[in-house]
Order: sequence, then structure tokens, then C-alpha cells
Amino acid sequence: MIKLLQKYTIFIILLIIGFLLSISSAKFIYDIKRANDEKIEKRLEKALERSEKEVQQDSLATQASTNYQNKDLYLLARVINGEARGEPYIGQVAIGAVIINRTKHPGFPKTISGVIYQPGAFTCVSDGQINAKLEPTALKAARDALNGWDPTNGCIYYYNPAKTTNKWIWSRKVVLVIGKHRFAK
Amino acid sequence: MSILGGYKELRERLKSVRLWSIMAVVMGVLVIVALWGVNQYRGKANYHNYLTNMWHRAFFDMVGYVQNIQALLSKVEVSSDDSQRATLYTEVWRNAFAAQENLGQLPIENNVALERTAKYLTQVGDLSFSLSKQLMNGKKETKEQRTQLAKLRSYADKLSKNLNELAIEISQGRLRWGEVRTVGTSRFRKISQDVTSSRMLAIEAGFKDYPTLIYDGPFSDHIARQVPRGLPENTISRDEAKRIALDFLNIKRADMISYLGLSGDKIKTFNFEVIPDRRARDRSITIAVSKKGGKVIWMIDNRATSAPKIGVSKAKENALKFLKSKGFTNMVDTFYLKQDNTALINYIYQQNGVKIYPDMVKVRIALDTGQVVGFDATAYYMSHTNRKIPKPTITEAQARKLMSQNFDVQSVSLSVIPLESGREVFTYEFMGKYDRKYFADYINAITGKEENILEIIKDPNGILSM
Repeated sequence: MIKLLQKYTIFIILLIIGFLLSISSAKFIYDIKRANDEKIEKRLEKALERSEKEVQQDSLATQASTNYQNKDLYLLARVINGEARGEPYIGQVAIGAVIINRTKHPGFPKTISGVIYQPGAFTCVSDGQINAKLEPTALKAARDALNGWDPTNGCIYYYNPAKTTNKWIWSRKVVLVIGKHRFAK
Repeated sequence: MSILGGYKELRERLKSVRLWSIMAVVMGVLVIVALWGVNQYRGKANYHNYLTNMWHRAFFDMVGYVQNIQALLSKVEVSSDDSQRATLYTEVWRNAFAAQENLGQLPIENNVALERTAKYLTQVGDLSFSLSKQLMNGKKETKEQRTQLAKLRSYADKLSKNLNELAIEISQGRLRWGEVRTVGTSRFRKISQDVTSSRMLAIEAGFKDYPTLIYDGPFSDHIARQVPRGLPENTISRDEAKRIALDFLNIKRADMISYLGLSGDKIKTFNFEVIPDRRARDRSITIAVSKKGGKVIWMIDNRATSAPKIGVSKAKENALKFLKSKGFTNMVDTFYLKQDNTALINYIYQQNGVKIYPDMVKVRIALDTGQVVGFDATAYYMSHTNRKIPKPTITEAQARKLMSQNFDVQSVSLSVIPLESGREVFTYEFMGKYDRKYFADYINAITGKEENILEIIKDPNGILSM
């Protein structure tokens, strides 16, 4: 009887220890992830500050409007990064061009941030991929798109046929395929 | 015996103490877990309430704005006073854009699917704004514009009625936006999700036979239907396109050329990806050659450029030489921008000394080697034709008098500029300074109307217009 209880005690203690360990390890992992995110955040902020400073230092008359484009640039670059990392360069420019085409289209919000944060518009925004580490090519692609290069010839949709669960999107007329993405009107 | 009995008793007691302490620890842990859980739940509920409130605000605001649009449009039909109608039109414009903004925030699983509703709201606003401008210029609405408006009002009536029904159901608690995301993965969630989304999609379906709207504004349907005016009539084959592309890039032989397909809407293009050197695979050039006319429409070379060795003036020299060799004559540079060790320079066509801003070509020069790494002539081929430029009916001095007297004019020239609606106007371009900022002021050379003002930003990284 006693022996049985003793066995039982050890079992319970182990269970409690296990439970506490799992909680603390989960917290540990969470902390690491958050620290990582913060680090990326800081680095991005620094980069933003630096480029803004460069512009401000050298400009003849300080222009608030030069900074304006910078903000859109990084937001656009982050979406390109989140949606098309590892895609060919031209495919990355194309994603940026789709976002810019939407701002000029009557059926969509009129600002770059409005288009990007429209619910359900971009998967990378809803699943947090938009915060992934920013690759320099994404930034370059965003600049090309903002400067008016449009490899899609005016497309306002794109999707990855292997990943999309949205039946509605299949009804759009596909104009071109770059890498894994189909671009449509 | 008694000693033995005492010992046994002690053991019994010990045992029970241990048991109790274990139970206490377990209870303690359970209480902690329970508290933690309650806390988590509260946090989640807070977030959920917060989001639901935002969604409700967006939705009810939108319903309000749509009702305003409907009321304002019917007032427009009744009103006979021009300035009153102009005010009403600007009110419609303001309400329509606010409504569209809120529509874009509704938690419909696929908000993009509400494209037609959004389009309607944009065009109602855009058309109203252009009519308001027209009235301010002293021109009354034409009969056509009146019928367009009446049609748009009938859509506003329907939309407003449907949204109102939905709003009543939501405010009575029969339908909730919040439910879309709260009720976990149970079957319940699917049902509620479908209800709200499908209700909005049903309203969207009411725009199925929505008419094509053509008017003088940036979101008019004619913008999407423009045809290129600057391309020759002949059509070319894929092989010819490939040869034209290689000619353009000035390379005899590329290690890899892949055909990306024939794409495009306004200008159909054959697209090629060229990898000039197999050993440097991350450098690729993408180039698009038009099927009609066989012209290179755009090109992007993604070569990583190193530290600059040449200045902007040398880059401009290279770019102009490049344009000449590709058959672009009479081009002058306007704005430029330095970024990523490249200089992006905008060139426009000049006809008998008149600057033609719509005919624009962008050239990007790498500042390390001076090579062309980017080219875009979409705007040029869309608009370039041999224009008949009239003689200005007002003189430069007359035009100058029409501007603000505080504006310090530094240079004047004649130019053709595109308006937001794509229409072209013939103007005097006055470049000058006001309060240490640079501006370009455009005065119509025929009517004397001020057509546009651009702020010119000059800094060491470039000259831009806003």
C-alpha cells in the first residue's frame, strides 16, 4: 500500500515538474522569438533613420515630402519580401506593381497602405510574414515598382495556384506567369 | 508494543501529511493554471471587443456615408442653382471616398471580392468631383451627364436600402461581425461567417450590370481602355521579337534566353529573360518587345551596381546617346533621381521647342560603369503622335499676370501636359520660387486657366515633382 503510494507520489511530482518545465520552455521560446523580432525592428528603424538623415542632411531646403516616399517604400518592400522571397527579381517587381496598380484602380483603396492592409488581400499580412527579415532585393524591387516599372502590364491580382484556397480568384483572366505566381486582371 | 504502535501511528500520520501536501501542491498548480487561463481569456476577449468595435464603427460609418450619397444625389437632381450643385457634388465626393475607405476595412474573409461596390463608390465620387470642377468653370452638366447621375443614384438607393437592412440586423444583435473570428473551429463559425460575408457579397452582386462610365476623371473607365498611339501598325513574330531584344541589349550571344510569354492588355508584349553570363546567374535582364510595331517597351537589368564612379551629368550624356541610338530624337531630360548607385532620368519629347510631357521615357544609368540598366517607354508609346500644336491665343505677359504676384518666375516655356484624366492641355510652364520652395505653374495657353501646380523638390539625390 505504502509502496504503491510512493510510486504514485513520484509520478505526480514528475508530472508537476514536467508541466512547469514545459511552461517555462514555452515562455523561453516566446521570449527568444520576441527578442528576435525586436532586433529586426530595430535594425529596420536604424536603416530608415539613416536613409532619412542622408536625405535631410544634404537637401537644400528640408523637405518633409521626401520622407513620405520612404515610408511607402519600406512598407511595399516588406510585402514584396513576405509574398515573393525566393522568386525571380522580375516577379518581385511584379508584386509591387500589382499593389501600385490597385491604388490607381477604382475598385480598390487609393493608398498603398490601404491596399496592403485590406482584410484578406495579402496572406503575408495576415500570417505575419510581412515582418520577416527584409532582403535587399525586395527593397530594390520596391523602388523599381514605385518608379513605374510594371512587368504585369496593369494586373490587379496574382495568386500561387499551389497554395490558394480561394475559388473566386480562379475566375479572373490570367495575363502572365512569373515564377510560382499567376498574374491576373 | 506501545513503541511499535507509536511508530506505526507516526508512519500513518506522515503518510497522510505527505498525501495532503501533495494534494495542496496539485491544487495550487491547478489554481495558478486556472488564473492564467482566465487572464488569457480576458485578454483575448478584450482584443475581440476592440476589433468588433472597430468593425462596427467602419460598417455603420459606411452605411451613413452611403445614405448621405443617396440623399445628396437626389438633391442635385432637384437643385437648379449652379453653385449649390457644385457644393453638393463636392459633398458627394467626400462621402463617397469616406465610404470606400470604410468598406475596405470590413472583415469580409476576402474583402477584395467587394471590388464592384468599391468601384461604384469611387466612380460616384470621382464623377461628382469632375462635375463640380466643370460647374466652377461655368459649364452646366450635359444631358448625358444627367442620365449618368440618375443611374448612379438608383444604385445608391438600392445600396443604401440593402446596407440599412444589414445594419438593423447587426444592431439588433441578430448578426455580428465579431462572430467571424471568435467561435473557434466549430461548425457554428462556418455558418456565421458565411452569413455576414455572403450578405455583403449579395449586395455586391447588385452591381453586376453596372454601366461603363466615361467622364473627365482619373478613375473613369476610359483610362483602362486607352490604346497605344505611338506604335507602328505592323505586327511581329516571336523570333523577330527575340532578335529585336538582343539587338537592343547590344549583345551578340547570351548564355541563356528564356521566353516568358506573350502578355499585356493595352500593349501586348513578348517577354524574355536574358542571362548574359552563365557564371553570374543572379544577374538577369528582363525585356518586353511589343507585338504591334516590334518596339522595346521596357527593360530591367537587375545587376548589383557598385560604388559610383561617374556623376549625373555624365550619366545624362550616356542616356541621351543611348536614346539617340534607339531612334528617340528631340528628347530633353527633366527630373532625375539617384538611388542604389544608379541614376533614373526622365526624358520627354520636344516638338518645335514645345515640351510634350506625356511622351516620357525613363532611362536608368548605373553610376559605376555608365551602362543602361533600366528603360521604360510605356508612357511614350501610349501617347506619342505627331501633334498639331496650335498658336497660343494669350501671350506670355498675359499669362504671367494670371499667376500669384508672389511667385518669383525664373523660366518660361511652352508645354503640353497630361491631366489626371489623361486629357492633354497646351500650357505655359512657369518655373519659379515661392517661399524658398520651387514650383512649376501651368497656365493654359488658350484659355488662361491654371491647369496644374507641381512642387519641385531639389536635393543632391535628384529633382522630383510632387
